Amino acid sequence: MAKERAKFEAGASARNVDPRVASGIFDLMEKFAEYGFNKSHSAAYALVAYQTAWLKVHYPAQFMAATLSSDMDNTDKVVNFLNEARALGLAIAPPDVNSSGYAFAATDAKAIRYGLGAIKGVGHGACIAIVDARASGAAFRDLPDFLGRVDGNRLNRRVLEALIHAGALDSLGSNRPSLLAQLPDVLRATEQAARERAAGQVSLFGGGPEPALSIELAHCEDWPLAQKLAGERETLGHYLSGHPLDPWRSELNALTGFDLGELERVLSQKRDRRGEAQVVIAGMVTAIRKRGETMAFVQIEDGKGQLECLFFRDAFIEYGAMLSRDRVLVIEGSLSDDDFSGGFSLRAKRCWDYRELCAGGQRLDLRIDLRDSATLEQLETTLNPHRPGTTPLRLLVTTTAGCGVIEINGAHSVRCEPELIDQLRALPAISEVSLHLPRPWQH
Amino acid sequence: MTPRFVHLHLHSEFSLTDSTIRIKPMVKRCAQLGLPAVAITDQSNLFALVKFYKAAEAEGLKPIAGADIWLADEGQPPSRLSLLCRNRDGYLGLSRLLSRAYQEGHRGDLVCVKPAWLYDERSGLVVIAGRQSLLGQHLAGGRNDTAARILHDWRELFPDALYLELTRTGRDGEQAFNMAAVELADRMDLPLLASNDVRFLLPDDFEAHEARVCIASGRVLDDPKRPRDYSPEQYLKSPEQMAELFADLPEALENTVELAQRCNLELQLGTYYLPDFPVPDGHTVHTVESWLRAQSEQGLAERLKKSPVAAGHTTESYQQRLAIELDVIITMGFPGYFLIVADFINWAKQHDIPVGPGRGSGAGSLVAWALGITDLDPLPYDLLFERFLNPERVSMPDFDIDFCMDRRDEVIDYVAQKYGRDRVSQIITYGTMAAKAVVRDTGRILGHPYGFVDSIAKLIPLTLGISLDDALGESEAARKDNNLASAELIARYQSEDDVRDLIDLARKLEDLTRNAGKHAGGVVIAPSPLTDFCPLFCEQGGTSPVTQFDKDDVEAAGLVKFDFLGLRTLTILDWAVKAINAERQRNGEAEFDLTALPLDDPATYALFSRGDTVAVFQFESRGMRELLKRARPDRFEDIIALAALFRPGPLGSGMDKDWTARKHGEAEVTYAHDLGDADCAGAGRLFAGWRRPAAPRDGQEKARGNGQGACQVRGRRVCAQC
Repeated sequence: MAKERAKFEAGASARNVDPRVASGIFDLMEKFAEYGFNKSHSAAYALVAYQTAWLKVHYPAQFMAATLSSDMDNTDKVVNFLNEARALGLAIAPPDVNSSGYAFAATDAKAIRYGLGAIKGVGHGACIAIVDARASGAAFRDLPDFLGRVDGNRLNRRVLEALIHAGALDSLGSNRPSLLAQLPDVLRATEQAARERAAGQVSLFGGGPEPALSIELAHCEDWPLAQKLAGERETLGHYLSGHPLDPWRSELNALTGFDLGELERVLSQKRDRRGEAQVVIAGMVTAIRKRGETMAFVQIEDGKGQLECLFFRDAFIEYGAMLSRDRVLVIEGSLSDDDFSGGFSLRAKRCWDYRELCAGGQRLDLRIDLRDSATLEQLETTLNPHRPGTTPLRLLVTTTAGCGVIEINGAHSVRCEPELIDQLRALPAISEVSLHLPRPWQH
Repeated sequence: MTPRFVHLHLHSEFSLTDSTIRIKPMVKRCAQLGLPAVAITDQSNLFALVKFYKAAEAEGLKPIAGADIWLADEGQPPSRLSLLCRNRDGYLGLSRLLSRAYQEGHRGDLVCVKPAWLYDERSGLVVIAGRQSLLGQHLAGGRNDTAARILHDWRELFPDALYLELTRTGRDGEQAFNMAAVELADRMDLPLLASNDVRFLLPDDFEAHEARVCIASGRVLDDPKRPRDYSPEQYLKSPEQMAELFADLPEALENTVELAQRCNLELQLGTYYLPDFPVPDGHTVHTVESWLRAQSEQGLAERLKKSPVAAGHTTESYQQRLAIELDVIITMGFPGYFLIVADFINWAKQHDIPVGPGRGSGAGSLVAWALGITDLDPLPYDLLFERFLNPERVSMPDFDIDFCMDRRDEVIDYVAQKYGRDRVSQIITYGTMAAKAVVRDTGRILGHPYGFVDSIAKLIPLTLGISLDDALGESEAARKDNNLASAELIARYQSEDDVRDLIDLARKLEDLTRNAGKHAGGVVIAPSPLTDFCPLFCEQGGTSPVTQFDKDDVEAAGLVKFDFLGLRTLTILDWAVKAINAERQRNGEAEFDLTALPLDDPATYALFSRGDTVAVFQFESRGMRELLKRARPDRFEDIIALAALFRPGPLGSGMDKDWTARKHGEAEVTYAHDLGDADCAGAGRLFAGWRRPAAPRDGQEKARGNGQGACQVRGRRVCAQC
């Protein structure tokens, strides 16, 4: 550009234009060079951008399904797009061998069905085999039916286990552990049947349909949510049926006031002159990266969002022991933009283990219907294993005599644990459970 | 007076297996030492040729082309031979030999040339046989008669083009070979050639060179069993040193000069060789030019049936612009180029392969739109044709074409079929030893444990293109930008000897070329077999060869390059539209046509204005979403402008804020100088006498009345036509 500037100014003075004006104009043109250059390059890409935006507005289900399918192998992107799809009001149906194809697909204007190809450990060949077998008949009834119809060469044990953990075979059995338990027997029986067919052994009754494999199908008690979610995490790369934090979401939200999906809003509202916001966040540790002996980077997520927390020097020394996978932490620190990742990061100041906060609960409120005489005993049975403790209870009761409040404290106080909350919520007579947690950062 | 000598046996870093010689420093050093010419004889390749020629010419040195080859017959162990090109025939012959070696001669890690092939390509080549040649092998084995017979045969096949190479680098067997060679040369009247088998520049570079060889061969420096094929003497010695070394054989020195004078290869850099476009059967009354005109005019008429003319234009003004463009295209000799591109794009579209609307400066061409190369009418957005093809700036047109990721290879295959598989190929790309990788490699060959090496490599910041100097805070860039230097790395470098030694060695090896592979997007189509222009490279077991010249060199060599890029978004659009149409078909509705989408949907602009653009191509980043919320675009020109604005330059100057302010009428639009409607390029023409092309386009200039989303900054409307 320097040569051009010389030419430009020479030409300008030859035409009696004030050299300062000419120079000023060239300055602008120089700055513009990059913009102007880009305009023609941008035009065509702008068209593609417009097209994607238009589809997102008018056909969100098909558009998001295509977007998800194109990045099926990248879990981070899948999670991001799934969140976006839900934000658009689309329902995400889990993978299901009775409905899913290889890729994500829109089932109607408001719903997307998960693709089998997105399950880790399940390859393209297996998916096609399943879709083909389904096309030629009714829905798969159960595991023997499934294994009997789908090309066995594509479905080895690992693939089947992946399908089970991802929930894709949920419609074939009562629950996932049962399916896993059934696998060995059904596989064996199916292989045997295949061998017999190959050997040309015909049924004694000849000519008729083959008798269905009669196997005793095992049944087990279902897994707790946490275990199901762990299996999904492994095969889908994220939690689909829920999130390990779901049972405690209302408590955590009451503590902090927001979930990690709202960080953008929180930061823009509370941003100070340095571009930081002093916040308290809560979430589960999914990854820890230690750097030397003085710092750790901790990935925290809560199913709605995620961020990276930096524990440095004092914070690292004091809270380092708390930093382990799957722990739920409440962290006070400075929130800011993370230019490197485009997300957010938090410099931790103080940190509490959620479990311990629960144990220090100030009061546990229950709304309970005691009109059934068995309920009180049920309640005691649930509470007893968690005694002694320091958290008093307040019961808002409905009895045949009317409504009232019962305070339980002293020797009958409980030791609050997240599991106790789960169990209380599971009781049919209890309609509300609310734990008042201390806010140690307010001291 | 400087003794007369020329180095004719030398490897550059592009030999990949050895050499730490970088071309520009080497050429400079030769000039310093008073050498008039130099040859690069890289191992089995000509990767360096174009770069070498350019560097040599810049220093006033004569470049000599050649290569070291492995010669092997079926079932025989390979032996070395050096080949130099005397003229263009020799270059083409060498190019064919090397290409054949890569396609048919893989042997483990090497590629070999069969003697029969060499004998077929003799014209213009000079053969130099040294200690490691077939001759040398037989002599070393005491098979003097066989050796003599081979030499005899070679002398017949390469009359006046066979030399015996003598080296005195202190390696095993040199003395014995030299003695035998001198005797044979005398007996058979063959010339001797002194050489230093150069692999590195300065005597101090020996250790770094050994390290480089270990990295390439996967060995550890201290391994007592590793082959030690190099000596510290193999540096670029001065003519004085060579004269002293061969004081007893002055003719061996003199012959290097004489041979250098006999080798004269001119590379025609800067001339373009376009492939022929075959006019389709049944239309052969047309020439390529008239066919282009006919197709363009027809194409334009069809486009205008479906799309309205731009504001301020008429059918006539469109035809005028078309005519102007066609004149330029034909004058510059590019009608074939346009037709070739149009042909494979339309083939792709006919075969349901999604094609991008056409980016790059090609978007400014009306002819391109008429032919179906691009899908955007340039006139409503005042896109300049001159950006793409300017008779005053002689350069190849460059269409960047995006295809759907999955099926890009099918298009390449079609092109190969149509123009000839020996005329179409993809382009090579070289991998170099980047900061982190070179630290790891160096650490490994020094024998350090993995954990130690890993801990140091991890300290180098993840910034793309960062150098070790940057990371150590010693570069200009690092002084300006704090994020580049790593305090921990510097601390360890200063306090730990091992770390310092590792990094110092790594720095010497940094950025050396390490390997070759296939470049992601480039495709060349040549008018005659590719080996007429450059040799080909092929990985073992690989099916498709690539040019040995990288994308810059291949253009310098005059080949036409197309960028076939894979764009994931096109795949997404394709799938979404297919899903929509499957449903429409089920409901008995008409098909949805993405290309006919009206560009004025308010709901879509509302989406942009909300910054609700996750998954929207180009607009996904947080920063872009913030900009969208401020800018609140409501027309297509705004989208173009925003995509162009979101770049470091314009953002740094606050252009985005000004643009937004102007758009919402919060600031006035004023003009810098009373130019009326003159535009940026127009201002340039007016002031500096930049000539404008052929006919004036008054129609367009009048149309540019107000800010149609055009460039506006600080009240001065400058660049409306860019």
